[in-house]
Amino acid sequence: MGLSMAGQLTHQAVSHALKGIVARVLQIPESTITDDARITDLSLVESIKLLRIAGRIERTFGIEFDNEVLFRTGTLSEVADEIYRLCVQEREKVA
Amino acid sequence: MSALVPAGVRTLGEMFVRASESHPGQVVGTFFPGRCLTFHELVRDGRLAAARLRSLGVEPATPVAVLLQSPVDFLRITGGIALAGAVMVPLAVSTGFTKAFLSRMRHVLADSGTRFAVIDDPYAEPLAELVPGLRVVPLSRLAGPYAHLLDDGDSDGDGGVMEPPQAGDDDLALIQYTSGSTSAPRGVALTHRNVLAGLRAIQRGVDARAGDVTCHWLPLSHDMGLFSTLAAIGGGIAVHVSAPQDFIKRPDDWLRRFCDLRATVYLGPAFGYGHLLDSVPPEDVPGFDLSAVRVMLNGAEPIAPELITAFQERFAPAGLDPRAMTPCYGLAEATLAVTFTPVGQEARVDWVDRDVLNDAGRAEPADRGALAARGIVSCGVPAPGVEVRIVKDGVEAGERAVGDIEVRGEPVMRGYHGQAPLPAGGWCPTGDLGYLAGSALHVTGRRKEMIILGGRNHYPEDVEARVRRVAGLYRGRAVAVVLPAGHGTGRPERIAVLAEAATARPPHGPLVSDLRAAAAGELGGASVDVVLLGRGGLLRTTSGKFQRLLMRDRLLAGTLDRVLEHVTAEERVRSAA
Repeated sequence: MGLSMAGQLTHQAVSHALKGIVARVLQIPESTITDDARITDLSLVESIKLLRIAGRIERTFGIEFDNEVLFRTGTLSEVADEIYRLCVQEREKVA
Repeated sequence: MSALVPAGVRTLGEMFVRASESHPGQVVGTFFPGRCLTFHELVRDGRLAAARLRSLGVEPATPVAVLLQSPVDFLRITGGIALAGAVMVPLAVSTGFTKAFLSRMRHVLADSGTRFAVIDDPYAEPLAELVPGLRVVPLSRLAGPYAHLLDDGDSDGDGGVMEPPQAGDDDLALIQYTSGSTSAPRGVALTHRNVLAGLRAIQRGVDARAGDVTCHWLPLSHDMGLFSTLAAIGGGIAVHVSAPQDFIKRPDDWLRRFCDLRATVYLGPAFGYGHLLDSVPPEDVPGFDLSAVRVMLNGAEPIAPELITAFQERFAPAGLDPRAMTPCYGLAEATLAVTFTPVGQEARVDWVDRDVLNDAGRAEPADRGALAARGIVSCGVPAPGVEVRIVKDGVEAGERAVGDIEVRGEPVMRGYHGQAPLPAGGWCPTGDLGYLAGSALHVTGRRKEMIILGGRNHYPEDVEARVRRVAGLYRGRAVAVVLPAGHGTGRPERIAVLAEAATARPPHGPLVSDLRAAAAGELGGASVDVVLLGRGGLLRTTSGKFQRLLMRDRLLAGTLDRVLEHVTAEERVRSAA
């Protein structure tokens, strides 16, 4: 599910895709993941799972993503902001 | 012909020179951006780096810290330091200079007296600013394409032959800082004799053969990664190393590349095998060819019996020989290798009665299906040149008695850097607990308060130092303890943070969330149990010292008083107020 298609890239779409990735890797229902939650608030997070989440983010959005961003006390919406910023930056490079 | 470091070689520098003379075309490579160096090129670059280090003031026995991300560059500079007769101090590189990284760096430099550090160019200036008094050498100064321009004339710049200065085999070769907490790091001081004996122990343990290909993803600042790679070079064997993140983020691509390289020897901690199981579903397995794999070393952290059988069954359709899985045991204090499951023998699990093990400290054989049965994976028998004994109440314990594991032999350090050497007789306590059955070692636990997450050591005192700075605590009072794995419940080993809340009034969600996020910062993102207590709830001795183990035992028994809230690592934190 690549999101790098032209025009599809809204902050809302990024946030939704991010929640999907987090829910799948942590194996928890997507509904329990709210924008204001931190990833470290979620259940049984481990460094391996965060690296796996970072790997999926890179594949889904076609960007380089540092896994430390995930637990540097930011909420999920802040992580989505960072992904959105990197996507826009990536596109400017290509354009 | 088994691939051993030749008998006459007595220092790391001689090993590099001999490897390039006997196996000039053999390669050291990375994984994805397929960058390779032949042994000849590796030692040629090493000689140039040694000459340049000397021109910068590095003399024999001078410690030099190495913080390089690419495994190939790391090995070029390892060769350079060895050929200069200097002392290697490998350090892990964290992408950004986090506070924790800098604090650890300063303690290590103070403990080792290191005044030189070789680092990738982009980080040279920032590090020099952050650690004044340290002579920071960018990699390009030693091994870059233009480094020869800075040579001051005397060396002819294209590898003037320079024999390694006579570092004796009892001179210091390396100080390894993988044990000890951030504030009190302990440097494992290894001489050339220790290191070479350790490399030969690894080679014999895996029955290294010409034609082997070693592949792994461990950082070379970690003893398992560094010494298994040096053992390959010393034996004239090809070795390919990837960055850890490449394995974790793209395990299926990594495994495909591993098959293309026709790897025969793999090594890594238990969680790596779990990661491959999670990432390669059964239907994808036939697409891989693992028939060339001879040995898969499994060490550095506790091994669950079911992980071994699950891995063997999952990858059998890829042609993986079930005997390849080779549980082993080792530690930095013994250079690396202590015991191996003999090559060609399947991994063995010793089923014992859990209650007799915990209460009487004895490994009583039990039927595998019994309710109270616990499977302990055998780590095999001591490598040649290494002895293992179990000590209980100061006396060597008998067969199947659980006690402190101690090791002795030529690969074992004489002591921690700057501290009193080990007592006569050279038995080195490992801090691990276990028993011998026949001559096979079984590890059952750990005496030192530490937890291994993702193959890396983490210490409660480091988590404590971090969480005490969280706002909302009463006088910054918090402690951290290690909760043992629940063998019955399948709950993994984890850390619990016990903290006094400034206010007893709910909601406590935001404070719990802040504590968990702070601890995660120290544990690479791992979540912890959080126990909030009222003011004065933490138990202390009359002298004011926190009684951590007493609180842990009461927490486990459910008899800890003044608990306002207990959120376990599995639960979700309601951080919104």
